[in-house]
Amino acid sequence: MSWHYPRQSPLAHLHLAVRATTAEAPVWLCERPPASLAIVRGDADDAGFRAGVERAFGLALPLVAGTSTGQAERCLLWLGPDEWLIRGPDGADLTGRLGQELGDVLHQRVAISDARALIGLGGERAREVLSKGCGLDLHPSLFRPGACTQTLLGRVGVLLHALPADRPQFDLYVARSYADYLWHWLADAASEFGCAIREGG
Amino acid sequence: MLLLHCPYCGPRWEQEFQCRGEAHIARPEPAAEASDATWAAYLYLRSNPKGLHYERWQHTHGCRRWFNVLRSTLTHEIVAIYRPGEPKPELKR
Ligand SMILES: [Zn+2]
Repeated sequence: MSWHYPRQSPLAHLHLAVRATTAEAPVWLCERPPASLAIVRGDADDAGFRAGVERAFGLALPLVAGTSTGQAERCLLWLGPDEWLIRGPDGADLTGRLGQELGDVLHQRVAISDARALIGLGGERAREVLSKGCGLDLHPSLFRPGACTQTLLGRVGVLLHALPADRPQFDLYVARSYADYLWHWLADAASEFGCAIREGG
Repeated sequence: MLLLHCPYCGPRWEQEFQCRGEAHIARPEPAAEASDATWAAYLYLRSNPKGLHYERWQHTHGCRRWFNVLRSTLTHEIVAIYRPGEPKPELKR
């Protein structure tokens, strides 16, 4: 006999969909819909590696520390001098694509889709919320749209991505087991400004 | 709070890093022929200075890379930061 468990998002237990509003608020939070995530490591000085990744996703490999290429749902994020995170649509076989395009080029690829929770944060006061628990200089002149970095937020490790958007908007990648903690930390930090829950899409 | 300049990421706050002990400790080679005293010194003996100290640090919560720091254990002054494999800066006294 086999059991089929329904696939649940990391924050499914908070029933965010029924609490979501479209009201304007100084800060908003959402859980992003599921996405396909993978990590690739390789030598940035190897033209074959760079070209292979670019062929696989149609995005250039960001070589400058703390930068990204692409948009929110389809992007390459710099994690380290030889390490990147790839985000694609839910179900996309990112590691398979990499394997096809990179072939014998020395690299490492790991699928991590279900290891991370994706939380969206935005609104005019969003940077102030982050600054309560993060020592980074988040001023928009330094942490510009498109910037990404791994750092500590409220004592847990997160990958922070400032989305290329007109208004302040961030995607936070956090280990799945910390998702509940980080959500409540964010909601608490945002409460003084007024915080709305949004649909994730 | 210390502000460390990760050679890869730039200036970051101290909590993102971990100090991983003294740098430039060479493993005796060939290890199998090292005497017990040489091996014990390699494992346990550290310079422990009051003053400038060559250290290895890791940007644990950032890019996760290791690098070297020349830091004063007395004043916390950071004199130099350099990547692994780069030459050890000489002390000017
Ligand atoms: Zn770093």
